[in-house]
Amino acid sequence: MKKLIISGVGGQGVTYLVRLLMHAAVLADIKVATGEIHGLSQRGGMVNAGITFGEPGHGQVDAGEADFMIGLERLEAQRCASYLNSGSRVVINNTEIMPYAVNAGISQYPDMETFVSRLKDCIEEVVYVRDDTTIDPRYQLYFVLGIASSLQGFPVGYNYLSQAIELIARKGGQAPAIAACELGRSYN
Amino acid sequence: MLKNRVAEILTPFDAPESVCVMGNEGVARAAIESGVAGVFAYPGTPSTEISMIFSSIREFQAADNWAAEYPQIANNHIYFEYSVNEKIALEKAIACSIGNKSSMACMKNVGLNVAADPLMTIPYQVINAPLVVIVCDDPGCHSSSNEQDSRHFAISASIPLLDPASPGEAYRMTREAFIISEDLKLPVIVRLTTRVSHGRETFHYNSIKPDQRMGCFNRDPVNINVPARTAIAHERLLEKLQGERIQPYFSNLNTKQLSKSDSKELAVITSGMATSYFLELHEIHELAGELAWLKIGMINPFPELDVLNFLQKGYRRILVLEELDPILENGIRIVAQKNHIDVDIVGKNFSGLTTVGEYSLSLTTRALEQFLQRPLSHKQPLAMLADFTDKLPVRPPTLCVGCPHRATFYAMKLVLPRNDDETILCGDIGCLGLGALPPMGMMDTVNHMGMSISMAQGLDLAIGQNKNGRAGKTIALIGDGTFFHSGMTSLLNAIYTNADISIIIFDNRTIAMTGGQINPGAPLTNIGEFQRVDIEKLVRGMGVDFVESMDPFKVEDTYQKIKASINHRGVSVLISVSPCVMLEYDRQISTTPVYVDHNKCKTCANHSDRAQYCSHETTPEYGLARARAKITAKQHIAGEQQACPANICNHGFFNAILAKDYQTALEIVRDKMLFARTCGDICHRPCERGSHPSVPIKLLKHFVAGDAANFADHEAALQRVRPQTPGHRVAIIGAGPAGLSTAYDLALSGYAVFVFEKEQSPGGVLFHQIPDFRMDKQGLQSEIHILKKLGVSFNYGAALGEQINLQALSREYDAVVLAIGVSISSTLAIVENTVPAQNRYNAMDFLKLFNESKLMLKNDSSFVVIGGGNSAIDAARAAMKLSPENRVILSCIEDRHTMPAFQDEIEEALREGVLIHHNSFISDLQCNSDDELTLRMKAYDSKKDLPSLQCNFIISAIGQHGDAELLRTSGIDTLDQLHRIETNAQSLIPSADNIFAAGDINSNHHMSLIGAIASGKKAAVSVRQLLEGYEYPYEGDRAMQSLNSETALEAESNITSLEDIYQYDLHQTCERCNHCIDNFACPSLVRKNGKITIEQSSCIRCGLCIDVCPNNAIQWQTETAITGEMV
Repeated sequence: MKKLIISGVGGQGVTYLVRLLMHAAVLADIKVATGEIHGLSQRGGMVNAGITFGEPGHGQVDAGEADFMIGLERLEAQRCASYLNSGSRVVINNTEIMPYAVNAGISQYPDMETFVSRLKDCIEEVVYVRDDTTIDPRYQLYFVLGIASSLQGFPVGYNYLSQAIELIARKGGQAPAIAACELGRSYN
Repeated sequence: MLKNRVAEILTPFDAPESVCVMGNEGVARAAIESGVAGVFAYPGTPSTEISMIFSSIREFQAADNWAAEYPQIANNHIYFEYSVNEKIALEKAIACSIGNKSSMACMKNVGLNVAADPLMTIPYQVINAPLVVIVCDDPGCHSSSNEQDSRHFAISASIPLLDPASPGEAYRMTREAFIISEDLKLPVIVRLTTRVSHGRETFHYNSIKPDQRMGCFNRDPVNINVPARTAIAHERLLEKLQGERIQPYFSNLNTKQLSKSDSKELAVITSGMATSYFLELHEIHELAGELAWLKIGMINPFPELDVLNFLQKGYRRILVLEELDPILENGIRIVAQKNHIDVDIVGKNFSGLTTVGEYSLSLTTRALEQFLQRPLSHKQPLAMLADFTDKLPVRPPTLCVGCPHRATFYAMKLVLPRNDDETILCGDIGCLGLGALPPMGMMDTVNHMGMSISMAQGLDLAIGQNKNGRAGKTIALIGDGTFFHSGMTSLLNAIYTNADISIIIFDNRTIAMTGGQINPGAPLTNIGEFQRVDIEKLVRGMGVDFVESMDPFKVEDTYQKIKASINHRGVSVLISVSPCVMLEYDRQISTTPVYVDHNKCKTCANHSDRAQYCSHETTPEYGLARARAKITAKQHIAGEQQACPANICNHGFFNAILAKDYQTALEIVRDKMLFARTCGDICHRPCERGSHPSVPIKLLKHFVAGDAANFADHEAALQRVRPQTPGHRVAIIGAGPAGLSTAYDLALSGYAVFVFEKEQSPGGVLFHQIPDFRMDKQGLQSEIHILKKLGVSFNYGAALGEQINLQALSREYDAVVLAIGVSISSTLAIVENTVPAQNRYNAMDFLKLFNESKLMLKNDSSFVVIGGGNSAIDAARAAMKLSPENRVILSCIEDRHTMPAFQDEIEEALREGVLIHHNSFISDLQCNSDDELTLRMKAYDSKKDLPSLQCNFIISAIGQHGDAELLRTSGIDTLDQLHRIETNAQSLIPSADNIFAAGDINSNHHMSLIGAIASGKKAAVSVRQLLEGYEYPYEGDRAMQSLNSETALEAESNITSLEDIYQYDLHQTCERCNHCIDNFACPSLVRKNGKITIEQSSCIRCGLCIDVCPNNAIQWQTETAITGEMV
């Protein structure tokens, strides 16, 4: 059984990514389940979702249980650090979305460099998408998914992911989506 | 929902079809498979997806040709509506069922509370076709007002309740529910929880049995509910739950697994979501050998027999895992007790298991560890990462970019001061509730659906009962959906009971928070099935007189309407109408981008030296004051039009007063100069000449400096003195306003300042000449006294050319500033030659003697004052005040409006009885005996004779000039006609390295109080340029230059009360601004590198921020002006 969490901000496509991964798992005949996707999505709040692949998972991912994390936004990735364990493999996207507290000067956006270097010491694998990486924002989600799919032991094979994209992605958007995915796979 | 997905969910499968979907979708499918004909719901997380599926089906089935396109599902026609509220949804479902059509009602946990009345009563009667009620509880309150355990309702209503433990079970149990309902002729509740609703897993769909029933109604007395039948009905109901008929269903719904070994020690009984956690751990840790388990699926009626059979296996200890209330646990205890079974039962309060919140894998693991009395291995979070997750910025949900609620709240913010307790904002459920969060903070209460209007009435009643009645208002804030749901009846009550409340309906044309469902006000009638109800007509029909609709993006109109509503007595209703941005996701309202001009955002307009101190506070109230003025003022005046030669930040000063922060307003003046009080008394206000109308700065200065408490506190200036540095010793000659202004600025900059003054007290003309009926002398003293506290040293009785020598000072000090003023009075030869000394004065001497009370003149004196300036007027008024019998005539060559004196002073003089003879001069003078003079007068323009004048005294007020001789002996000979010093542009005296001239003695500068102050400040800058290489020019230079081209000024403005200032908006870009973040906070406004930037990827270009920014820094990006931040 493998467990994965996705962290991000409402509106980034967490729900969609969950659907994609689940669809791919079904195609691969892997028993897949999710729990609740926490957060009031479209209101710009933080959102995280857990997926379990294989028995006896029921979709719940608890603290310390995530074998994989896909972090769509930097601050939220840091916030979900408690889900990780020493064997975790993680991809963190280079998107930064300022919460109100930062705009208002009440808090500071956290320093990512220190966090990522500590993360690299603690866990198995970290792919930190660099600041200067620019992808068409419409397909950035697929780029990050591509990177995730290249993490060792990722629960669903890439061929199933691309099949799922063909089936689910917006008409006309499948080709660029898959292209972005491929780009992600060769990122590191 | 996409068409093909709708088709899919309606497609029957002959062989079981594997799907991977969420529990809610499974419930919908199960209902379809069971032949449901009508579904009735109200949106509510986590149940909403169920009803959304049926809403999509409705749309799908309303399209033309759908039956031809999908013949396989053409027979299955399902009705759906979002009812106005859950009570009606359930009632209508019940009615359909009585009418022989299978139906289902869906709602969230608290929705069942609303539907409780029909739920409790119908079981005593009877239904026909199956009726299933889906209710979704929310342990952990992810998106609900409470975490109630809705299973209690089934017990109270005496109807069956099924409690699925997983998404797949939700599907299967819903199918079972329809069967049980049909069999027992009772409503059956299927109760999900959030994770069961929203979790997804793989299970199988089956075939569909469309409803073939014909709608009909049977006249049966049981349909008529009367008290007489109640006892029998109740018995019959209980018989359904406890009798034989229901028994077979238990085995489908309750499952058990006995332990694999003979061990009869430990067992677990579970229901609901806790089951899933347990089963995962049971498998991972291979507990089959140690633990038997029983899972309960039907909670009501309680499965006594199944539990009894299980308990009779003889377990020593049983752990009950169940979220929320211990319903299952208590039921088990009852069975054990009734049957005298000796078993230790643990559940709530064992190992952290509580009634509060959700369970989880880790909580269940700990409980099992304690139950099994051994550790169970599990992965741990990393301790090394723990400190990274503390203190992260929170990210709560916020109003979306472009949300119309933000616009409404913003207009409310402009109207309502939130620093009092008088206005109470009673909010409600929905997206508008996000307005409670910072920075909006525009809500004081939020409870349950519809409570806003009830709360407002009730609070108004409670507080209004106080003896003094109440100031302020209670305002209810409610969404359009909620208004229909339960606000209407509360409004009716408010009208009926004469409540005094305002109600603002936030009509965003949808039920937004749950994903954008229709409501009666916004039914999206493209399908033609639903009728629109107009809220405004409805409210008027109820009897409200004051009803106004408004577009919240029109800020000023919305502001005015809110204001009018608050002032209205009785019930008033405002409807703020603008569609939710999510209704057209990804839409941009304009093709023109909005951008922020970084030259205006957080940029000080006043000076280039960033190190200049500014007392102005960046507070939300300050931002609101400026922003409010921008929207509501009648007169908009650019700050550049009201520039001060001393560069006082007038817009900062004015806006601090608008924000009622008088202390700060005073400090803003004192940032630049000492004489706040004095200028408030006698400045000739050039800042009010640049625009018409203009903000009455002088009057406001007078007001602010008039507050004794504020005025006396000079601490702020003392706080910012810089430490003294060597090589910075400056001598200032003359302690008039110019010299003292130089002293102030230099002392604050850390210079050692030495002032030399020929009189025995400082102040110059201010102290000696200006009479105390024109200004507050005490105030002046107090202002001057600060200089001593700043370390300036004063040397009195030190006259230039006598006690002190200019060249010597120039050598002894690093710089010298000469500010001796123009002390020689001009005279008329004819007066000097003819009038005896005791009968003539020059105005300066006269006023000095007047101030020192040294004038001993007879009571019945008559005066002629010659001159048209302020000195002449002052002397004339002083002469009048010496005795009530005095007579004073003022003769001047000017007309009324070309007299240099201040118009208001002229008017005062006239009021006090001074007679003014314009356009006249003395052509001849004769001195009679007896102290009497005869003056022959002629008209100045025509030279015609005028009537002669008789008087005792002549006072000459025809001007001052410098002391040429004194200046020449001091080595200065570049003098103008009035013997004032001609300096270079930096006020440096030619032929000197380090001697500067300031004030009246400098010929470049305007002879007025503010001119002297500005001149003094300029000299201070020149000294700093010389001695420390200060890089910046004098900040008030431009305003100072324009003093020389003066136009006559009207009388002082007629501001009668402080409220009148709110008609003005004095605007200029300001660095101390955080308004858009503090009071508006659109997520697209992001702070980067100290400026605000618009994140173009999220901005929908509603343009509201353009109205918000008080610096006018946010603009549409037209082709012409694009500066600062680029798109």
